[in-house]
Amino acid sequence: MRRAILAIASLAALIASPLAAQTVDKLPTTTLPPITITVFTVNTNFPIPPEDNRAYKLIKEKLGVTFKWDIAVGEADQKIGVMIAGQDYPDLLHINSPKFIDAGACIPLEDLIEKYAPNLKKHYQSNPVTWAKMHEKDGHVYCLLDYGIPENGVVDTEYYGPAMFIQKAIMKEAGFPKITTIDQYFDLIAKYKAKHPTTKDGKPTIGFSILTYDWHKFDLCNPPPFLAGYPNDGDGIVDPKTGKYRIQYYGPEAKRWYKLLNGLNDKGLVDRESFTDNYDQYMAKLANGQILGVHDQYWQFQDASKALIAQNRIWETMMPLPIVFDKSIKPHWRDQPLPNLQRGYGISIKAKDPVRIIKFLDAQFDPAWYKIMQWGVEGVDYTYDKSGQPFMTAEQSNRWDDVTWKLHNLAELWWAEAPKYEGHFTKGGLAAALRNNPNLYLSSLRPEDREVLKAYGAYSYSDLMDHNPPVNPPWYPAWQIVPPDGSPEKLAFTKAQDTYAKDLPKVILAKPADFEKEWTAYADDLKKTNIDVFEAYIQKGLDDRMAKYGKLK
Amino acid sequence: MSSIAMNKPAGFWKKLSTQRQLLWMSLPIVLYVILFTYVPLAGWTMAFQDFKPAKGFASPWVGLKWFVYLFSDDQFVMVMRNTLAMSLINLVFGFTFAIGLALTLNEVAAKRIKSLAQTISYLPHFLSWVVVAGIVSTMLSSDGVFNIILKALGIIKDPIVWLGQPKAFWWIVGFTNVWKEVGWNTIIYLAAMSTIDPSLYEAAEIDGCGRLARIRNITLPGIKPTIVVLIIMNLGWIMESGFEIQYLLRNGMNADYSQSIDIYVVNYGMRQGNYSLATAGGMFKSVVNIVLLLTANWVSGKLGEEKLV
Repeated sequence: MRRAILAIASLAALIASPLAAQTVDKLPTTTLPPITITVFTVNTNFPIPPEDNRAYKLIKEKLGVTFKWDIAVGEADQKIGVMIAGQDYPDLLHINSPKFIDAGACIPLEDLIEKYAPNLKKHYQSNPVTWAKMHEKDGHVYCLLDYGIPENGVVDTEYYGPAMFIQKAIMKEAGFPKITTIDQYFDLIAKYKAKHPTTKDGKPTIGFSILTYDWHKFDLCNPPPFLAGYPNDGDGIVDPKTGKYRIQYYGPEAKRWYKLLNGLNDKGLVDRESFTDNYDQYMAKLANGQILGVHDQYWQFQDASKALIAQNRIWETMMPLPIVFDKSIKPHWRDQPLPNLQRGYGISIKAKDPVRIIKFLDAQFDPAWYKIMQWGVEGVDYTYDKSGQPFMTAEQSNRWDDVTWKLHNLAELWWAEAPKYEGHFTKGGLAAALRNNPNLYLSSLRPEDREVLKAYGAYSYSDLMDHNPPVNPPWYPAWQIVPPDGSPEKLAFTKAQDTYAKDLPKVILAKPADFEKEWTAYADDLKKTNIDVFEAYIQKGLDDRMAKYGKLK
Repeated sequence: MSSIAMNKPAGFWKKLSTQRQLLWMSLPIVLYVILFTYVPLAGWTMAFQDFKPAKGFASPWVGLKWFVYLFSDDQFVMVMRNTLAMSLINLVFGFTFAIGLALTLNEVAAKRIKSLAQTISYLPHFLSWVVVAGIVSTMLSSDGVFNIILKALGIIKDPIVWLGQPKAFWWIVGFTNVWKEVGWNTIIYLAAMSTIDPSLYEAAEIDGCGRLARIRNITLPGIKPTIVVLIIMNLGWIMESGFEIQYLLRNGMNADYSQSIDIYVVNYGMRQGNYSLATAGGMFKSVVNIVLLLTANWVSGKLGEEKLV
């Protein structure tokens, strides 16, 4: 069997090779002298690539660059600490915290980009606010961001962000109604639960569950601002008119939401075990199809959906809905991609030839190289159909589940943190992410999802959440402003988080008659945590951003 | 006179050279202890600094700031209460159940049943806390075994979410510890019992002693030195109520009763990058432990019992 597959694979390669050779020949090359670049990375998702990896071989052949990897296994922070203490750096550093920058381990990049890297310059300066935010406090740019700067229009298919999620089966049974308010949402859930007290395999269905375990507890406090139509500023709300920030834990929206949950709990719709379950127990309930509705961010429970899909129970997977308190509110659940500040490669002070390195970084920032590193080779791993869209056979598509194939053919380890295209390569051109191209995306949809999307006239679940997410204001998001470790602000914030984790279950589970009493006790406990200090810190951060990048839009 | 004075150091060196193999053998252990328990003590200086990893030892000195902070923090007082309570429960349960089980096993005549019971009771010791916490939280969930039994017995009507009952938390930890460790803890007592001279039992039997009288008058006094030494040693761990089980079973609802000093140190020290606070918390714990250990040892000596050091 194995031999047969091998034979077919080599046959396919043989047939395809003339075409492949052609595309590979067309790759941009360099006349610069060859160089070995040493790279330190804390990305542990990919092993060190083997010698015969196709993408790295091409990079060596055409761009004259060989990588030498140093992957931080175990405690990355400890390793970084040792490097800083010994001033012992490779050429390129993977920055994923302020540590290297604060320690002065990186060289300023803005002049190098200006002089030697036209591609990178165009990319990073495509949005002036992003370019401004890339400058650290001392006025220099140290980090080439890895993600979050889409060009030529955003494409999103699968939705990974926050939403009120509901089982697809509920919407189907109700005839795919267009619902917008939280009352409609819970109404559907209550009716479905009354009709289906158990799942097909006899487990009780659960109206609404909340993930509260450890750091995941943000799901407990995040819904109120969303329901009131505010974007994801996390723990607080920024007034769009005045720019004033306030902690939202005990605001009027919060009170409205928890009063609602309190009433729902009285009707038996809230999962009481939410407050004691750990992450695994929560995921198990979702993977059993027990939970009918939940507020979460999709990336957190994606694996539970995968388990249901593997059993072909697609209707029991969740779909996102942009739900708000009432019809007068415009939802703002989906936001635009955010620049991933202080994440990406930086050139170290020990790099021997920074000019050569930045020239390489600029050269690899090219659609042709992007495709070699992440899509594969044309004619071998994908072809173009008549409409000029990428196309994969079932066999080519299945290779993407094969870790060994990816290890030998793609440049994932380098690519993950490298400066890269996001959105589209050109205006109206191909989407940078292979599977975001419409033909490939549409052919990958399951019939059930096709039915749901058709009923709502949506292209994808992202589209269903918001067809046109509004442009982010320059100061957005407030959650990117974080007080330093060990500061009184951070301490107050941690205490406030512990307080809501402790008190909100009591508020939700109280008898409706006791709600006011429990709510007052919660608000009093929060005030005791000194949360104003944190509030003031974020306000100052926002004011600085508004002063620098313009006020509100 | 002088020859004796000359002899003494010679005797010491002679002894040293005759026992050199033993010295060589103990050297790695001594080095290990120095390297891993004494050298890190230098890190205690962090508790008196505003420690920043980038600055290292050059961080500013702040005296007792972090200790003052700890003791003026309501939460620290609370976590100390929890730690001591859980630790005392563990201590009392640990001794009574282990000694009780050891006495029972010792009285079992059938050798196979005895070794089977012993094996079963000490097996959970080898489970990781992650697994044990998983079992416990499943058993205590609203559709778990514990609620099913209580409902069947008519003690409760609606299932209770036990891990959401703050006051039940200490006892859950106590009984889980008993289940996990009781078999393991009996081993040392059974070993001590096997050293008791069988002729004592025979003599007692001839004198007309019943089973309970034999336990009271022969077995218990026979293992008393073991018990005393173990109590002294365990008092040295009184500030350690365990970390894993509380960390794995805690949640928002039981937070007031489940947070121990270790969890506090992780949450407010390590995770905040506040190493000074973490060190101060850990140092306080160690000092209390050492004081208790030495006091217990001293009291024991005064009462004419075994002494550890």
